[in-house]
Amino acid sequence: MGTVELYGGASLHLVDDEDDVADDRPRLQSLVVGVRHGFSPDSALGAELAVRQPLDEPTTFRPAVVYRGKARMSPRAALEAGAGLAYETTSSEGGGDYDLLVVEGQVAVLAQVAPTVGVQGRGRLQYARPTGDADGFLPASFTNFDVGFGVVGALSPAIDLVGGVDIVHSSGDVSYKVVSFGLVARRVP
Amino acid sequence: MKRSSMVLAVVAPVVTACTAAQSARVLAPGKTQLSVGAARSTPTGEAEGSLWTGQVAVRRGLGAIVDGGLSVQRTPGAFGAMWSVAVEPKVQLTPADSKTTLSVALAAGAVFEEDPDDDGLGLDLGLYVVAPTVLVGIDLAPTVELVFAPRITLLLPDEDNDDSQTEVGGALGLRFTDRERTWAVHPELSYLTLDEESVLTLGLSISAGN
Repeated sequence: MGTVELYGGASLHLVDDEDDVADDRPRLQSLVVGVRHGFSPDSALGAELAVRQPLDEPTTFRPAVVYRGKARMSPRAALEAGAGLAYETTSSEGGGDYDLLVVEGQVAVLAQVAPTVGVQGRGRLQYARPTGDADGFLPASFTNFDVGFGVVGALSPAIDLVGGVDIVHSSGDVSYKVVSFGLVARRVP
Repeated sequence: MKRSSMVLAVVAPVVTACTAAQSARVLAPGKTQLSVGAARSTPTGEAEGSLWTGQVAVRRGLGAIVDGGLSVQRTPGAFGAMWSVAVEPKVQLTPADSKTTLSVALAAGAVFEEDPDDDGLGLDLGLYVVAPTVLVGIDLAPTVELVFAPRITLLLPDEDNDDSQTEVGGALGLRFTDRERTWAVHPELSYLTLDEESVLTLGLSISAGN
């Protein structure tokens, strides 16, 4: 029957000293909730809903289906790969609404540095195509990439606390990082 | 070669993340390690700004004294991103049980700029990079290795009318691992001299393998 996991989290904008416009960015960057069903101890299919800038415009709603697979390389090391398909709807009262179809792939390396604590390096590459009218301000397709580090702590056999820092943009003039944290609760029948 | 401060800052991690953030030891035949890392490069001269790069790399033991790596790097974000791809064979010159390890590596890669438009994705080749590197690893403890990696970097522009350049640099890192070396956390500081600027890069890489 497999495992069922519920998860949720939030990410906050992290101020960067070199970023002159940092103070203009909303502190609360995104909220996410999801559920996934494990077909085996190392693979799961799930659905999630993320909302970016829920308290500020423009706000993006992002429902997605996601797959996760894990390869245990040793008792203390694992690789995790994932794929997802999302539909993003961004709207603002000031206009500039657009929708994106997004295909993404993720990879993470996991190191169990203590019995209940693991660290991870993670990267995510997205391929996006606007659907409908993007008002000409978006190219026909583009990629997006973020990279970061995380910590996973097991509060109990059924609950994990996760946190991390991800760099979501860097152009030489502006670097943009977010801090994320969340809870994963699982039920094993 | 025309270079903006951003390109300057990108060039350093291209080689840094490929040739360093790794043990001086080669992986045993059949062993594989995957790494994910990020680095922040900052020009030390008059140029302003700094640039982050992210990297995903895989390394596999190919023989008793040889392993090989493949890395892909990209600047985070959506538009105007820089990509690089590099391969790097490494040969270990000292015995496997030595507490001080000496290896030589040769990284070769290419740097691209992503330029999407109304026709879709565009990827423009910018330059090639070749970096012979010496890696010296000293076991400070059974699970801690100090890695020093001096290197020469050859920057070969794609355009015929641009000049190639030869630069020098190096990296110093600490590799924390378990006794079986199945995972590693590797912070690293590297320095690369360029004609008009130098670039200081601080990076962190996490690896997992069998």
